Amino acid sequence: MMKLAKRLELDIGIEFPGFRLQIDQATAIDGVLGLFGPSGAGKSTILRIVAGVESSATGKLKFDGEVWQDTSNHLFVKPFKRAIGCVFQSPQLFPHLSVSGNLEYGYRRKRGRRGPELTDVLHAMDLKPLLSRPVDALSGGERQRVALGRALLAAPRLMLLDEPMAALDDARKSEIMPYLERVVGDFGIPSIFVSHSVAEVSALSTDAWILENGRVTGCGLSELPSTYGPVIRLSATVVGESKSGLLICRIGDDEILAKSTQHLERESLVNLMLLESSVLFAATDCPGMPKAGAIRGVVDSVAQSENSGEIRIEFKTKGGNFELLIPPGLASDFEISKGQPACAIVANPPLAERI
Amino acid sequence: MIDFGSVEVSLKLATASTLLLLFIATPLSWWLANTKWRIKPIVEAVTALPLVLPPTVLGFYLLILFNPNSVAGSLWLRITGDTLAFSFVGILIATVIHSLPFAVQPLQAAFESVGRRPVETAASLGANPLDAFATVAVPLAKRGFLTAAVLGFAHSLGEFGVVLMVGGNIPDKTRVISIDIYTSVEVLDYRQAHILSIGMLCFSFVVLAALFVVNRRYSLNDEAR
Repeated sequence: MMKLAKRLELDIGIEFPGFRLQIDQATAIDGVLGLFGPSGAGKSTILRIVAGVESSATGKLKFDGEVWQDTSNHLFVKPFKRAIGCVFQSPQLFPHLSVSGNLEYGYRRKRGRRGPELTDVLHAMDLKPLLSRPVDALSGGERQRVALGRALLAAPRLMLLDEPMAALDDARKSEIMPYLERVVGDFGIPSIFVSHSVAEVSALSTDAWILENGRVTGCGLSELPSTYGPVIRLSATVVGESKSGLLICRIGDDEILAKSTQHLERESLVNLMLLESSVLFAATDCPGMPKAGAIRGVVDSVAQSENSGEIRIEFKTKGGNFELLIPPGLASDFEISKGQPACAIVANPPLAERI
Repeated sequence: MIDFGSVEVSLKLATASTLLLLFIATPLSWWLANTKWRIKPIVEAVTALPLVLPPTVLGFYLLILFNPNSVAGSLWLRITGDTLAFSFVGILIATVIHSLPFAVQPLQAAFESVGRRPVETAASLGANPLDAFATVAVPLAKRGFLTAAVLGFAHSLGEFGVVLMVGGNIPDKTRVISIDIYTSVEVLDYRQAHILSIGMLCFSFVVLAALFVVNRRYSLNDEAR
């Protein structure tokens, strides 16, 4: 689906006892804008201001050429007129309505705006089997899918996703992830996504603001890993694009799916930036692993730290060398020697940047 | 010969008063549950006053207000040709004021427990405030409405002091059950007093028991969620 970047301009402040937020930032949202930062940084407050439910905020807020708030001109567009879809940590389904009643709620009130069709949403969110179920009989992941579908059917111009996976366990998170991707991928609705998890932000977002103490301290996805956690850089070659819109990058014989904010041609040389915490070391050459998702290489050196007992492995791949640390508890279970084949499994699509 | 005139007046009074109570208490409780104004405690105190004020005090001030020589009383007299004091409308107004906390408090508690989130969610789905209130807040607070209606009705039905002060004791017009019982005892008509009293006792018990049963069922449902 064609995506058009929508411009979001924020010059806004709000004060609570012990907390001050001041944001002066503008960006074109072409996909998902991730807001990342520790709890209390002001991520959710920004979403509430954009949604129009934080009445004490002052300043100017503009989206897609439309002024939503301008305190100096006493202008404030009421939340129900902003056409914003909200999906929060708790799905906020209406308990007095059935699943289909919930889905219809926004669909009936979209005031002639063109939006996703009912059948498309039911299909994309796999909602058909849930329609006849009462809301209280749904699991956490199912509720979140209904909430996403309900928000989509109201034909939103902007989606606000506030930690939509925080209440789910890891298995459910990976279940809901594809549905979140479809919000932008299938329906082309610009979204703002809030999370305190680097992995989630980097997996979903096309752009990011990093927040701390009510201020934006960094912009862009490339700021994410270097600011939050050690990063591994490997060189690779772009060889194509996957169905889901990710880049296919080759290191030696291995293929890794990566994302990028740049336009990268085939055969471009790129740096892949992997978060160290999203790389798993396996002391075999992973015979069962599919070609994509793992980087094979050899162990170049092994050293055990005297004090902490952790093992430091120098790992040599066709894309470059990097070090991995294995915590002391796990280290005793490994038989690792110099020169043995091994592989690094990449759990999250890294970011690719042109060299 | 048993006279059921007072039963009719009481039922009429309680029904009209319950409808008026819900009409007034719904917006008032919604406002109380959501306002951030500093005057909220003052409004809450005024609404709760009838709980602690002797009915005679409330009745006394209303009688002064209803006096045909007062502004309100004379205006009413000019419009309707009837006095407010010692009329059915007069005791209805008095009853509504006296029963207001019984409707406002359960409704306010219900709206507070619903919270802002469902209404904000409805707004994000394009519902204007009145729409969101009617289609989300009211259905979610239905238990509060039930409690408010039942307590308001039962309290209005047992009204005594305020009605006696404002309405006097006019048969078929302002004589309600409790005043009828009082009068019957004074003239030693114990039969009439017995029948009316046992009726009131049974009715009150049945209504409250039914309310508690329904509320228990709701809360069991909520826990199951």
